[in-house]
Amino acid sequence: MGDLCLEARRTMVDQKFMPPSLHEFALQDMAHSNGELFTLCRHEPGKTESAWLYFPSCQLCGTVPGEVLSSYRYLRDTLSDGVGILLHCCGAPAFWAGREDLFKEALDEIRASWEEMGKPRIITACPTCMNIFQEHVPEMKPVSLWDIILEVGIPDSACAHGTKENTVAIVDPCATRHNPVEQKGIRRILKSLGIQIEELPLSGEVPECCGYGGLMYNANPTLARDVVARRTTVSDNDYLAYCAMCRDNFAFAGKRISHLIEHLFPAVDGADPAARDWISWSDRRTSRVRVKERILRDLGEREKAQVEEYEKLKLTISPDVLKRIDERRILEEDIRKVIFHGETSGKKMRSRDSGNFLAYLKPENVTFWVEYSSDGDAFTVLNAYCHRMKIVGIMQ
Amino acid sequence: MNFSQEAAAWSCTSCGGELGLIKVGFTYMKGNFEIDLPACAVCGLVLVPESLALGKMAEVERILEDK
Repeated sequence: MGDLCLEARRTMVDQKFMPPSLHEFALQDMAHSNGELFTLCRHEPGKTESAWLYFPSCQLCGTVPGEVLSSYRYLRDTLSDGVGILLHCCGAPAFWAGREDLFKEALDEIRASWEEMGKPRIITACPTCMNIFQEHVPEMKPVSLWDIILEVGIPDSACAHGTKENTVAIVDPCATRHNPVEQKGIRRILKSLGIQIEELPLSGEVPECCGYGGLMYNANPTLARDVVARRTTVSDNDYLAYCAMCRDNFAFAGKRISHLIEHLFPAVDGADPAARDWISWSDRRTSRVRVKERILRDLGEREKAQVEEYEKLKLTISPDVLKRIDERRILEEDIRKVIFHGETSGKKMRSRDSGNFLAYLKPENVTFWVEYSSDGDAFTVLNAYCHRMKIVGIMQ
Repeated sequence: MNFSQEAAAWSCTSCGGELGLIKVGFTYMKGNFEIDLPACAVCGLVLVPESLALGKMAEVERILEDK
């Protein structure tokens, strides 16, 4: 069925029938991951060759940047002959969207970096990246971070903190459906940590999707939310994922869930990773940028990122508003652009009751509206919404 | 809140004028529409209320995309 849907999507893209709204947000997120703010390919500090190349994945960097950096340190400490790093998106969103042009572009960039590094063995911490590489670039001979850990040893930092009654229900990502070896490896690691395992009814060969794979979340967000909401009720135990998007989607639905990497490389000693809250699309981007900055800093390189004027605005967004606008696929960057436009152009409206402002801007294909209040040079975001229909203007 | 009430609730800060119900044009996927919405006749600022953007407008967008 998946192949049939994919073929239909490709046909729709080829024949220009694919509605632009369905996958655009995911493709823009991919473009961010494959842009200059995140992409990076470097040898290990102090080395000029790499026998290994760590590809942690864009979404893992987005949700657990500290743990990704710790896992990279672990790989450098335990593997010999150099462990380089490649920050990039594997192109999965483009693959799922039927955008073969963008998918090829992403893979070509990865392949070029891999060749430039001397064709080292790829280590990935994302099951989707693993699938993409195994199917489309098998010559990379990708191996998972979890396999490496099983081979060379559980890191000293590992702990079972934050698991209710020391038991977790494993959320096998849909990407591991045909990878029983990886699924067994995860269970072996958990047992090594002394964590008891509950098997969910739909796992192993028949795992459900969290809504991200295949871009269900983008094409049909209501269905994706329903799927996750139902899945949160299957077990009262904490869930444990080994896919970044599974972790984030269940956390968004309010389920206690951790990612395996948070137990192996905890960013905070004694923390409760299953209590970690949901994360916005904007914060994911910020985290990715932070991973790149930290790696460059370790290498003694500094990259002077250009800061746009709208990025300097002092902004406050309450958690409720942030969650609402995140569901509407509105980024903090979009909001900043709207407020900056309203304030610098004067093109805004003012509420007669509250004194709040309302401004709008169409940076690309979507018109964003932001209601906000101001206190000097600080702004509080009260609401935001958007539409794709283009305003032509007042008709004469 | 209907569109008349929306128009009365906001003012244009650019010129300080009031918003009135004015015919505004929209386009999406080869479809063209006109609707009376709160707008500033002087500056051309248009107000698309949240209820319209997330309701009828989103519905029309989906219909046009499915065509």
